[in-house]
Amino acid sequence: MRYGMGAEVLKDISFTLTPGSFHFLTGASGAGKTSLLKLLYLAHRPSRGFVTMFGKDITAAGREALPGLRRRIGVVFQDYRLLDHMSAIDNVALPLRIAGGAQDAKIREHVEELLVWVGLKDRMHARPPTLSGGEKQRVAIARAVIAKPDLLLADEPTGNVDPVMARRLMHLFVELNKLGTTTVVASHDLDLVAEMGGAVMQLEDGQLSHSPQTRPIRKPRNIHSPDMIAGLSDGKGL
Amino acid sequence: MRPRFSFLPQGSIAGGALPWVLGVMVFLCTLSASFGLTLDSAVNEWAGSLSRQISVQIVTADREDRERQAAAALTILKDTPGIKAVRRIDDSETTALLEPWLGKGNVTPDLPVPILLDVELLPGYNMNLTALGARLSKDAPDAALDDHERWLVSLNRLAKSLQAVSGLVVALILAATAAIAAFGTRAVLASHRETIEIMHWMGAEDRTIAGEFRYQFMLQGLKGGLAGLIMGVLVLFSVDYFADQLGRGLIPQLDPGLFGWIAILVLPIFAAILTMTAAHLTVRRELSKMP
Repeated sequence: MRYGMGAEVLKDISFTLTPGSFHFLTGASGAGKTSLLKLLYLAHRPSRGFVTMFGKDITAAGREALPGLRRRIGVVFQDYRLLDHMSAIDNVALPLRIAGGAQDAKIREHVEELLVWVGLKDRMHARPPTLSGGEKQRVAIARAVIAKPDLLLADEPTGNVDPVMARRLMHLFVELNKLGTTTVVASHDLDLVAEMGGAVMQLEDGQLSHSPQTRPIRKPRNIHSPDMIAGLSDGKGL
Repeated sequence: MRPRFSFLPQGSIAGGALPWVLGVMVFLCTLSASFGLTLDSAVNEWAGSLSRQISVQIVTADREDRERQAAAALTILKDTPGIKAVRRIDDSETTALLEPWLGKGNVTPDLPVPILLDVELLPGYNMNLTALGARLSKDAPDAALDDHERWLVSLNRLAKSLQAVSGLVVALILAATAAIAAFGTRAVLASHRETIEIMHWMGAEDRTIAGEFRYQFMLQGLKGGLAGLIMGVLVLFSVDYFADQLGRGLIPQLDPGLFGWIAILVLPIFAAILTMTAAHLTVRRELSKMP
């Protein structure tokens, strides 16, 4: 993969993400973690080679096929990318509204439940410019997981929260993963990665130097399941 | 038409100058279109009334001969089928017509002023003017028949030219409106690029994103268009009122006709469709550049 006419930022990468697996993506700053995630959330197409996702060859797929695939992917952007003119609750509800089919009251109910669980009970109606970095990050995570995606991609999702909240959020990812969501978390927090287990993909100078290995993912210590996730697992999800 | 949900900030499009510019465009369009349509009605009316009228002039210097020929011509015309009425323009009317050019009191009885006969034809009757002229020339050899054809042809040519100009003005205004809507959409797109990208990466279909812009621009087009129409119609009626007060003369009555009024009243809808289409095409073109 390359940006415009620039040098290749990712090369000779080949890997398979088994449905329902959990992966950490590590690497130094500039190693290509964000670029690899961009390929996975279909913001870029590879300049050569091919990417197959949900049984579809993305490189050959027409533009019209991509929105449906993107709706199956939840993304936590490193810079959050929240809509500043919308409240936290409306930002989180966006994927469900884009997907359509659910009643607004039901959407709000689930969004509120999730926002309470990520510790934003009193900030639901606040707009992103008035939120702290950690609060924005939690809103971004809630937005990425609310529609129970098949693939969850998180770019440094715990970079701006304290260790307790970081583990709480990682727990949310683990719970979603248990429900079948394939998860890729880009992180430079090696302590957290070591604590959590799971497969680790390490990027170095645009190349995958360490292929994913399947290790059981562990639940962070002293964290309980959110009701929202329980609701999803009971089939009451949206 | 209304999107399922709105993702653009409230008033982010309405806050700009777009509705005002669209209002001005529809205002100019209303004036130009009503001018062209009124002219069309007026020319049709003039042509209709003139085509049912002919004039006969007896042009000879000898007064007695002039009177004799006029009497003969009157008799022939009255006996001719297809003629509804014949009226001799009396001397006082002729004097009133000539005085502005010759000066008051200068139109004296010894002045060899032609005698005018005003002939009204039955509506729809196809008069053979050549045969009538031939019959008149037997008993009134100095009678000249005028069916106003030359005047009508010139009038028609002038009216058609003015109509073409007003049509061109309307077309230019509409093209400018479409261009303004396209530029306006591009400016709005540039200021909301982040929002559009986020919607795009979250899986919003192009039609969903374009739909929001279509709806917002349609509202702005309609709002500006209605304001422009109201202003335009007010100006038209004001001009018509003042023309009435001053004595109408050659200024035609404001009458674009039924279809003309319908065309003028749908201008805001047309402006809304135009801006909506321009916005749709611009957004889709911009979105197609994203993977």
